Formats: sequence, C-alpha cells, structure tokens
Amino acid sequence: MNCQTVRDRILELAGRPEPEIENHLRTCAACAEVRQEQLALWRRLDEWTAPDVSPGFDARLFRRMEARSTWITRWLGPVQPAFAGALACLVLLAGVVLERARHVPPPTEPPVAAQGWDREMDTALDDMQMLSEFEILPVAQAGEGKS
Amino acid sequence: MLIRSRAVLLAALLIPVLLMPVVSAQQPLRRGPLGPGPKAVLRPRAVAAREMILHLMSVSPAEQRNFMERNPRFLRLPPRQQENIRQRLAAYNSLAPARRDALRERFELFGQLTPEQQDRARELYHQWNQFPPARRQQLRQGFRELREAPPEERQRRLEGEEFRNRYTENERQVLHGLVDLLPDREEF
Repeated sequence: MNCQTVRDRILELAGRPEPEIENHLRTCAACAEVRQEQLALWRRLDEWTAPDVSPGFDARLFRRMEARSTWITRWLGPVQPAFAGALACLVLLAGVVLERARHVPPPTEPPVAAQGWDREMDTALDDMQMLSEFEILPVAQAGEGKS
Repeated sequence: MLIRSRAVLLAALLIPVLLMPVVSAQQPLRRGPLGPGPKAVLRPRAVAAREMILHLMSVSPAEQRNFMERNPRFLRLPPRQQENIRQRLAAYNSLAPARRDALRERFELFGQLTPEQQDRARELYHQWNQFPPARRQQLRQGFRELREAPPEERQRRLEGEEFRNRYTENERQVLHGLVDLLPDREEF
C-alpha cells in the first residue's frame, strides 16, 4: 500500500483504526504526521460551536434579497409559478401549431376537404364545358345578379 | 385578489403576443385563384374540385402534366375522371390565349355565384341545347338587345308584343333566365 492510498483512507476513515493503515503508519513518519494533523483538525471541528444568529437576521436577509430583485420579478412574484406554467403551455401549443402549419400542402395543391368528390369534379368539368359553349351566359359576381 | 388580477392581466397581454406568430403562420401565403372563396365553408368538395380545375387552367401545359403525374389527390381520382380532365384541358389548351383567359375568368366568376344561380345557369344551358342552331342565333340577338337595354326596360320588352311575336314561350323563359343573371348595373 503506497502513501497516497494510505492518506486517502485516513480521510475516509475519519479516525477509525484499520490494521493495514496502522501497520503503514508505524513505518512511515510522513503519513503518521498527516494522520496527526487530520485528527487535530477533526478535534477542533468537534469542539467548535456555531454562534447564535443575531435577532432580526432573517428579516434583514429577506430585505436584502428583495432589494436585489428586479422590478419584473417583484411584480411577478406572487404569480411566478402560474406564469411559468402558462408560458410553457403556450410555447408548447405554438410549437405544435407551427409544426402542423409546416405540413400544409404546397400552394400548387388545392385543398380538399373530403374524399368522395367525384360528382363535384364532374360538375366542375361540365361547368367548364358549359362556359366554353354557352358564351352568352352572363357570369357576374355573387349577389350582383338577381336570383 | 391582487394575485388573480395580475395573473389575468399577464395572460391578456401575453396570449395575443405569443399567438401572433402562430396565427400569421397559418395565413395563406397568397390569395388568388387557389384561395378559397366565401363558398368554401358551405361546399368544400365543390370548391376543392373547382380549385383544382382552376389551378390547371392557370398553369402551362408542362405544369399541368407535372401536376397530373404527381399530385396525390389527382392520382386518387378514378381513371375515367383523370382522362376526362386531360381531354378538357387539351381542348382548353388549344384555344387562343385571349379565349383561354376569358374562359378561365368566367370559370372563376361562375364559382362565386350562389349555388342557386349556378343551378339556374345549368338549367338554362340544358334548355339552350334543345334549340336548333338557327333559333339559338335568334336568341343571341334577342338577348343582346335586352342586355343593352336599361335594367328597368328589360322586363317590359320581354313581355312586349315584339318579343312575343319573335319567340316562343320556352324561348322567352330562357331569355328571362339569362336576364335574371345579369348584374343590375352592367358597364359596356
């Protein structure tokens, strides 16, 4: 076992003894010193106690946070979750609609609302022939002629 | 209360802004012969069939062939109907350019007539075909006179003695139908 492995294990064991490590420490002064420093550090950490929070700390903290927020976040503050949800839904909806719009048939392809339009096609062709042969037929805009 | 009013205000501001690109993306790129007219809502199949024919009338013979070879909707038509369209287009393509333009314009305008007016025109055409060519020529002349008369004069002339002597009851009915299809104010 080399020194680097031993020092890593020292940190992992946090002071708990392990025979293999102990054997190495007996023969390696450098590693033994590292272990002593580590034990001293852990002891100091165990002895340290955090100072009490001063009265009004939370209030002062929130005031500082409030002061740093922008006008938009302050204004949106109460409705931020709902706003974010609504925005996400709208973006999703826009994406779906745009994706569908991309698949609209090209302009060279006239729209067809339903299949089974043979009869209508025959009628359109007959109208074409009628308009070709019946030239005196007046064709006006809808609503202009009397019905 | 404040939260709700802010949420409503935000939604009112954001929804139109966010939907604007969506709505504009759905607008047709161009209006013209292919744009659906006001009847599209009422008779979508008739409008679709008419628009396919109108489109074919609006493009070159090469583009017509390309369309008929590749367009899935055209290819789904029964072979009899495909052949019918090809024959009608061949006849149309053989017309002089001015006559082609006139026929295409008449076809487009005819599609904008009300369904009732369209049916009435078809009925008149059917009756027209029953008359011998010589009578048709006489009827053309009579209709020309009526068309050139002021609108308020037409009915009087149709019922007048001169027209009664020149035309049979059936013929005057056809003339009456044709006059009914004239715009009230026509410029010559």
